[in-house]
Amino acid sequence: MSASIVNRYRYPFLFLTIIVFVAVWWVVAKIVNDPYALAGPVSTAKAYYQLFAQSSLRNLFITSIESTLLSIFLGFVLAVAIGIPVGIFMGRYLVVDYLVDPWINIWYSIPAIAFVPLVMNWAGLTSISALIVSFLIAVFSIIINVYTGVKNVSASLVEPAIAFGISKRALYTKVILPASTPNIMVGLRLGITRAIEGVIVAEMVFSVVGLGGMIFDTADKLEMSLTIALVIVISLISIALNYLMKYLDHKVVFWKESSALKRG
Amino acid sequence: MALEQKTVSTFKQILKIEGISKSFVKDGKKVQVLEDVSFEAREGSFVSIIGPSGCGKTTLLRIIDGLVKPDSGKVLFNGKPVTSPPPKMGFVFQQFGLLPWRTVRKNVEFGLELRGVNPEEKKKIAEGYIKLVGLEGFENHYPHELSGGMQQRVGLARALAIDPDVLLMDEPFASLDMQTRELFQRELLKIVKGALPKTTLFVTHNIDEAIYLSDEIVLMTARPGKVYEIIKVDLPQERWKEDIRAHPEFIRLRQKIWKFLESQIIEKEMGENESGKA
Ligand SMILES: Nc1ncnc2c1ncn2[C@@H]1O[C@H](COP(=O)(O)OP(=O)(O)OP(=O)(O)O)[C@@H](O)[C@H]1O
Ligand SMILES: [Mg+2]
Repeated sequence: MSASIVNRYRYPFLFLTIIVFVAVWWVVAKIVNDPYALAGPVSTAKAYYQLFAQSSLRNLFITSIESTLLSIFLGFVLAVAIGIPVGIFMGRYLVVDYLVDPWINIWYSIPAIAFVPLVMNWAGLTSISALIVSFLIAVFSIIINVYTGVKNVSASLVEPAIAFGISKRALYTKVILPASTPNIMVGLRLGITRAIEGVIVAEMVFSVVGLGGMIFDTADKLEMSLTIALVIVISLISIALNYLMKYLDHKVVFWKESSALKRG
Repeated sequence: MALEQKTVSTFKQILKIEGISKSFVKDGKKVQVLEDVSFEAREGSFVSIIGPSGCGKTTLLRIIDGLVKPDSGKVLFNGKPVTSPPPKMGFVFQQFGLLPWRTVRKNVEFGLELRGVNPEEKKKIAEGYIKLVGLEGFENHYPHELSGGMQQRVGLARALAIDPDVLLMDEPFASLDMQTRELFQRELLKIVKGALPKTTLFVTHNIDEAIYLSDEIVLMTARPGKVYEIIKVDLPQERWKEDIRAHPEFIRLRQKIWKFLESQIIEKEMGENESGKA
């Protein structure tokens, strides 16, 4: 099918897939016919009504969302604030690269959940702990991508600048950093996904804070329709944040030729 | 007045390349790239460097600009040894090397910006050179929106903008089609021999291009690159005014250089075959 047709009907297509998904969900729920195993779309819709109509539930829902979003935001911002300078430093000094690189890779391969018991001992069952977990697992995807970018800046960009007599400092601010932005943005996009994952995993283990905690709690009480409703909320948050990063990426690296590549 | 200037400048050797040798280590083996390369360039002259691929022409330009240190020998620019890129040398790179996140104007301003020229003057100078290379109206375009030839013109404007005395050009027209190429050659001559007199060092693979443009042609041998011969091109100045390519001297030189290059390529291939057998 030609790309233009696909583009024209992109949103109707999306809408159609959602309808199909809900229909399949409805049918499967009917077949299973056990509200504790799988709540159908109708009872999930009712759960949303509950979330907004019951004042105690609504208050819990709102504070949970706030807490989760704040943990994600702060964990991610901290990861960016530390990950970018460390990545540049590593790209700049080969020695640092050699010393730190294996450690970064080991750390990077640790699953988020492994950090949770440790952090729990430092900061308790709090949103601060969730924030620390999300920072710990987001920061390494940022470091790795930033220093890969800095290390691989093409000599064909650096050499003309040196021929113009550029200073060491200006070489970084005017050439190497801007040239690394595609990689930095990859790091940020991975970083936000990891930050979300870290917060939710931590909250589920703690089971008393944030949306993760609420999900765990409702599942524990066998309120399956509420659980599903909350999982959908988390997915929407994740989708929205990922879109935001994708948008930023296109804004910042508009000049990259490959981003103009046409797909069939 | 103009004549007076010419006779004065004719005698001044602005650039002296003295006994340059350079080797690289590749896979633990030493590869000699340049061997005892010497030549000079008079102020205001156009010197082409021609030689088989891989004979070290780009390396030589890098050494002349102070981007790479030679193993031995030295480069004198106005009598002073070059150790780092001199402010009065401009380099036009083969792969353009434009900053893709900067517009045409910002790219042309790059060298001026690094030298702390104030914004208004910077903009004025850049616009002048953009006009000179025929890119008026494209000031706010980004490199990826331009054709290869247009990008090359930005590279030229960028090098000219810092008002260099010496212009180093590394196969700048290699990516152009024949017609555009001849047009560019004419425009370049008009600039460096007319509007903005420069001493130009020009690396090329194209024999006609070298003859058309140059006062002197440095013929280099296959690797290790040595100077085989320096040919004086005895053709009228202001070559864009007549059909110089039909001139008997032009044809004689073309044949001579072609024979030399052919011998170099054959020699290289035989050498490779022998080492292949061994
Ligand atoms: N930084 C480097 N490290 C190792 N080898 C190098 C380096 N730069 C150049 N060389 C080698 O030196 C030789 C000459 O390279 P150079 O680019 O100067 O040739 P050239 O004459 O410009 O070739 P061409 O006409 O194909 O552009 C090549 O064999 C190349 O592999
Ligand atoms: Mg070359």
